[in-house]
Formats: sequence, structure tokens, C-alpha cells
Amino acid sequence: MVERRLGLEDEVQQIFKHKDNGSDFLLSGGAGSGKTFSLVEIINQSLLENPTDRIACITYTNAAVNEIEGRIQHANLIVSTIHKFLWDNIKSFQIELKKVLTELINEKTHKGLILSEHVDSDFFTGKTIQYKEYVLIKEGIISHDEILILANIMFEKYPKLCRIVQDKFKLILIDEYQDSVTRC
Amino acid sequence: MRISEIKVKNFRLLKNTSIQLEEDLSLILGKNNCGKTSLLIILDKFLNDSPFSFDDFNSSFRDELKSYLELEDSPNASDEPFPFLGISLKLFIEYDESDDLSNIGDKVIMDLDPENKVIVLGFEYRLLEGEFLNLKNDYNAMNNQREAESNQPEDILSFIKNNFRSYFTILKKSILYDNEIETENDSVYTDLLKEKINIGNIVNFKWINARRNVSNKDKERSLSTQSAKIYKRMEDEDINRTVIDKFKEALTETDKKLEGIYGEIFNEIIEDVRKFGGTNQDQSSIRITSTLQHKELLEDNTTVVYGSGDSGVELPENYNGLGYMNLISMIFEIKIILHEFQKSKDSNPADINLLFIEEPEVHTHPQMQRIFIKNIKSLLGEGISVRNGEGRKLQTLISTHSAHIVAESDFEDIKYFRKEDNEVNSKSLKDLEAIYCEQKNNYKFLKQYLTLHRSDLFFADKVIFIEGDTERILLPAMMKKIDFEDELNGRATSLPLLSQNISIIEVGAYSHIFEEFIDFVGIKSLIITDIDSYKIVFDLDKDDNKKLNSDGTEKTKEMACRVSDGTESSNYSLKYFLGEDIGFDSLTKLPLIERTLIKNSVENVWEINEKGHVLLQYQSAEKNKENNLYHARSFEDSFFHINKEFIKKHTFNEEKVFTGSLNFPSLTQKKMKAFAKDEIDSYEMAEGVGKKPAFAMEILLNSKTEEIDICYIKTKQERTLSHEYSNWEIPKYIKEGLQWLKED
Repeated sequence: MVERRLGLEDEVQQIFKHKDNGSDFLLSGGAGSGKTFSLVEIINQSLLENPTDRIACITYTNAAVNEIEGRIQHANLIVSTIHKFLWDNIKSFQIELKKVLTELINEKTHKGLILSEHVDSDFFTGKTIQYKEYVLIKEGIISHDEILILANIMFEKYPKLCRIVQDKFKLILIDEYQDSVTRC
Repeated sequence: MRISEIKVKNFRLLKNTSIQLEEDLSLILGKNNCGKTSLLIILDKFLNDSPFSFDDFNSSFRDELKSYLELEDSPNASDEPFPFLGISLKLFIEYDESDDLSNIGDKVIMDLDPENKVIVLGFEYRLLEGEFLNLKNDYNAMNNQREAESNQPEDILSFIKNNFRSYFTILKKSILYDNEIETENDSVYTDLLKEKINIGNIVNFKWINARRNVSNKDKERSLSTQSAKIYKRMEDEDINRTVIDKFKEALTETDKKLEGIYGEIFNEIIEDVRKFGGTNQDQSSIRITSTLQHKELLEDNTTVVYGSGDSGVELPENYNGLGYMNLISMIFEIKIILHEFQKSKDSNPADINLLFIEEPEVHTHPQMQRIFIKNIKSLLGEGISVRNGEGRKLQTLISTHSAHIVAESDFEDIKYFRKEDNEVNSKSLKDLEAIYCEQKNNYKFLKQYLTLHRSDLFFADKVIFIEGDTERILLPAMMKKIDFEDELNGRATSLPLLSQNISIIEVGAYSHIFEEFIDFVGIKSLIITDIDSYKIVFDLDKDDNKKLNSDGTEKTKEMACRVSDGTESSNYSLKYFLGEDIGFDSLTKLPLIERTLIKNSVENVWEINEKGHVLLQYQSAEKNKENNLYHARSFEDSFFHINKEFIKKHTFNEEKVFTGSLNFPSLTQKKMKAFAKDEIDSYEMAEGVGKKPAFAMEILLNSKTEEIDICYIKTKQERTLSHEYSNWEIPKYIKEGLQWLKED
């Protein structure tokens, strides 16, 4: 395996050392220095080595999604925006979503998640929490900003969720990391 | 990860059945036609997407469907959900800390409760509300048209039979498991088909059929075909690279060698061609080359041979016995399946790999069945290797009819299928342990006894529990006698006893140890035991003085005695089944109906019930030919009582010469003579039995066969029946019991 990496760029080789050790890495560089190119190279090489491992590649905009998907496509590669990625990972846990959302509403500290009345635990019974372009809390419809808040709490509160995502993706790559972080 | 439970609804005999599965091997037992194969088929239909047929619908479900369709209104009240109409299969899957959640984490796990470690996969083939209405309308429309054309209306079931595929839908779901009430909540689910979840990544199901592809026919050579199949899989999946490379290398070398030889063989023809080719010799030369195809090579050109390593004699596979071929073939097939479970290098094996082996005993003799089951666990135990070296276990189901396989398997692995009122229930023998929890020793005994000695009990239709050797030796003869008498008297309503599947088990006076098991398997059981009467007498020393206790009171002891003198019974199982407080007097007079019992599982007692499946039989008062009414204490006692003539005849011959020691060496001469002269009764005679089994043998040896000519009145047919064992009678309590058992 390792021999096949010989043709790779120097920084990508370093990254694979980190990957082999199971440690995280941060790749930074100026605009146009070839970060996205390296990213694609990492994905290619990883899929070559372990075709059954799933890889998540998180970008900040849909435009970036298209750019990466234009360069590489594979059944086990999931390229998505941070919002879609988080939503895909939490959306099937409706029971917990409803619980967390109800608590958030009653805390009344998050704008966008405020309702005039106090809500009971059965407030969302019979409804499905959905992610749309607009917010309609009463119906359980939330949007981009709320996803980030909700996901944050979900991962904090439920270790099983972390385990699932860990098992699901052997490698998670975040493009334009600084953009995603500042907003959280 | 493993499947812990399977629930099936409305599929063939499995009306509402649930089966608990063991972690690696579950052995499914049951008589014929009790749903073992149905379980295999439903797993195959849902997990491997085979189509359903109309016969797959459970018969009572068909009636239910029919009645719903014939209703004027909708089958549900306005505020109730539409009823479930169809076949359903639910797989309960347990996972733990060590499991990889990558597959089930993808929309299959429904909640994040850390305590909940169960997911439920639901498979349905059902009629949804909209389609129900369509079906109803289409049926009515068709019949209206028929009526207009003055044709007979079609029956609704035959309409469904011909058209059900257009109305029934397949659904695959993940259903929420409610950890608190420990059951699934059908109303909360994720539609796995809609979410495009590949269930094959979670559960992979394969099976080996009972009708395996084995035969001794020369041309089929199925084992060789199988070896080719294994090779193909190995090559496709990049397993055993070095060996395969070696194989290919050898082939290339052979190709080279052959090419030289071909050159010689075809030299002449090559020369001829060259002559036609013109002057330039090099231009049109041809060569015959060898191109051996490694895949095809195995298929047509290998023979699996069978021979002992030492002798050097090898026989082709079709020289083997069918049984041995079957065994080898099964191992080959398991190997192929293991490779298939492995999948290709681009995909991981499924989380759960479920293998169902149907009746491995087919064509194999008992010895081989034992070998098979002994080794199957280790063969399957290797499991499937996942990429990073760890093995993934196989979950296996084996259905069997073979008592020999049961004898070699673990008691805890056994799942018993039992048919009641056309419905099949499955029970884990493990549960028996819980039932027996208070008497751990009884359970241990039962477990050993059943697996080592009497595993045939699981397959019996009826069972007789007896005291000991005497009954065991004589029962078959008694059964034959009863069959004969019934035939002679035209009472042969049910199958002859000897043609029925009846197990006979010696338990001494310990039949109560089996009571939970009897209740568990629910088969018709006859318990033949002894009344064992005793009385309390003063304990005397050598000089006939009463012994005293330390406090000065007189010492007493229990002494066996005639029933007429008795005050108690020392047979514990009588009290166990009939109740602690039953008096000795009523014990002696209890009619048959009050000894017919069924278990009340709520109060955990045996109750009188005319439809009960257990009958307790022991000696009762009986008149002999001399018209004496007498209540015997033991089998021997009652046998002597009613067969006085038989014994007399064998004590003195017609010339009044004593022949007793010749005919019945097991009986003491003195007692025999006294009995023949009416000086002692049968009770005392019974004390003169030396070895009981020997006595039973002697009864058989001294039995006579009588020829009876009969003529059927209706058909005027004449027949000669031979009445075996015609010179002695069966004690009433045994006869009564056998007649009860004979009926269905």
C-alpha cells in the first residue's frame, strides 16, 4: 500500500502518516496553493487503499460540493455541505430531535427558536422535524442556523450518535474549515 | 451483532410464531409438517426477494381476508387504523459496544437511547388500504360484468389467487424498539426502501436445501463442479493469491510443454499446410498452441477422489456411498457459502450472516449424523474474516428430524416447533431451565437424559413413561395384543399402536421429573406406575421386641403390604400429579377420568380435564377368571392375579410333573408350587420373582400364538389371523391406558 503512495505530493504523504496513526490533521495554505487538489488526492488514495471505507467530505457551499464532485465520484464518497451532512446524520433520530428542540424553545435563548407559549413534551407528536429553506417552528420546520445549534447539542448529549458517525465514516475531511467553525 | 428473535405472521403454518435464536447455532426440531421449512422459505422470500405465491398465505388469514372483503363497510372503524392484512417477518437484532454501526447507523437505528441495543427490521407483504378498496371494487366490477354476460360469479378467493400480486405490496422497515416495554412499536418506523437502504449489508441470508445436488450418477460429478465453483470464487475475490498464482504458473508451463508435443502430433498436417502456402516458408507457417483455461480446467477435468491415504487406492467420487457424498457435498457447499458471505474485495461482509441448513441428515446414516453435528460448529466457528483481520461469526439455523443429531448437540441450542390447533409455536428448551429453576438437579438430569439417551422424545407423537425393565420388555407384546383384539372386534378406528410413533421411556417412580417437559412438548403421555402401598408397623428387633425411640415412644417403620392392608402410597409421583392431599382410599378407587390431566400453568398444578393429554395409570381392583376381585400392588402381583391359569400350566405339565424351573427359572420353585396349589395368593407369588427382566422374558418365551379364522360378513372374505401372546392377559390398568393412548 505504502509504495503506491510514492507518487503523491509531499504534504499528502505527511497527511497519510497522520491517518495511519489515527491522528487528525490540519492543512492550511494561501488561496490557489492547491489545497483542493491535495484534498482530491487524499480521497483518491484512500479509496484506492480501502475501497469499502466511507469518506465524508464537508464543504461550506454547494458550489464547492459541485467542484469536488466534478473531480471525483465514488459510491463511498459523500460530499455535502456542513448543514446537509449534519442533518443527514441526525434526521432519523426524530425522538431525540423533538426532545432537544422542545428544550431549546423553552430556554428562549436562541433567536429563531422562540415561540410565545411554553411547549409541552408532546408538542411535536405526530409531526416530523424537517429541514427546509424557511423556519416554521410550530410545524417542526427548521432551517440552516437551527441545524447547527441542534446538531451541536445532539452530538454533545448522545454519545451513541458520535459512535454511529465514527463507525460510518473512516475519514471526515472538512474543506474551508475556518468558515464552518466561526459560524458555530 | 446478532438476530435474537424472529417473528412471523400469516405465513403458511406460521400464523403468529416467534423463534428465539442463539448466538451461533440454533437447532430447530419438530415433527414433520410443523413449519420448519416455512421458516426457511419466508427468510428467503423477504431477504433474497423471491416472489410470494397464494399458498404462502396462512389459511386462516385467507378466511379473514375473505370476510373483510365481504363486509359492506370498511374493515376499520373511522378512528382506528386500517388492519394489517398480509404476511410479516420481523428480525430483532441486538448489537453491543464492539459492533460496527456503520450500516445500521444509517437510518436503521431509530433512537439514541444508550440502553436500547435492539433494532427491528420489519418485512411486510401486505394489502394497503387503497389497494384493498381497489381489489374490492375490481372484484365487484368483474362479477357485475359476469352477471351481465350471465356467467357464474367468481369466488373471491380464486379472484385473489389470480390477481393478488397486483394489489399486495412489499414493505421493508426499521421499526422502533421500545426499550421500556421490551417490544416493537409498529407505529414508529422508517421506510427502508424509500430511504434506499441496502438491507443486504445488514443481513445476508443463505441456505442449504435438503434436496441437495448429490447423486451417484456418473456424468453429474457434482462435487467436481463444486470444487470448480470454489475456485472461481477464490479467484474473483483475490483470496489465496499465492496458491492461485502457483496454479496459473503451472498452467503456463504445461502450455509450453504441450505446445512442443502438439508440434509433433500435428507435424504432418502443418507440413501439408506449408506446402500450400507457397515458396516463402516462414510466411504461412501455422502452429497449434495450448491455451489451458484455468477456470474451465477444474470443472470438466477434475475428479474428487476418495481413498484412504495409506493404501494408495483412490476411487472417484461416484463410487462413494450416497451418505458420504452428501456429507462431503455439504462441507463443500458450506465452504462456497462462506466465500459468498465474504463478498468481493470491494464490499464488506454483512453485519449478520445467517445460514440455514435444512435437514443435514438426509441420506446419511446415524454415525455420520453424529460426526456432522460434532464438527459443524468448528467449521462454522471460523466465521468470515473482515478486512482488518477480525472474524465475523456466522449465525446458523439447522432444522432436523434426526434424534442422532439432537443427541450430539447442546440442549440449550434446541428450539422446539410444536403444532397446536393448526398453529405453530416455537419454544426454546433453554426456557425449561427457568421453569425448573427450583429443582436445578431435575433440570440437569433431564438435559442429560434427553440429549444422551432419549432424543427421540422430541419427534414422538406419543410417549409412555414406565417403571422399569419388565414393562419395557412386555409393552410391545401388549400393544400387539391390543391391536389384534381391536382388529378382531372391528374396533380398529385409529392407527394400530405399533404403527404409531410412540416412545417408551423408563423412569421408575420419577415420572414427575418429566412433568414440565411433558407439558412443554404437549404430547399425549401415558404414565404407567405402581401404587406402592405400605402400612406403618412397629419396628421390631431380632427377638420380636418393639424398638424404642430415645424419648421412650415406640419406633415405627413403613412396610410394603397388600393394597387392602395399606394406608399410604410411597409413590411420590402419584401425589405429585393427583395432589398432595389425596387419601390412599380414594387413590385406590379413582376412575380413569379423574386421572386424565392437563397442566394449569397459572397455578402450576395438574388438573383433571377430560381432554387432558396425560393419563396416570396404576394398579386397580380387577376380577380374574376365577371371579376374585383383587387390587394388586405391583405389575407382577397383578399379572399373577389375572394369569393364574397361565402360571399353573407352566408349573406342572399334564402329567403333573413339575416343569416350573424349566419354564420360569426366575421364580422360586417353592412359591410356584404353592401358588399352583392355591396355597398362596398373587401378592406372595410376586415376592418370589427373582430377576424381574428375566421374568418378563420368560413370559414372552412361554407365549403361544393362536390361529383364528375369521370371515367378513359383508365381503365374505376369509382370513386367518394369528393371535400372538394368546395365553395370557394384560393387567387392566395397562390395557386401559394403552387403549386411551391409541385414540387420537
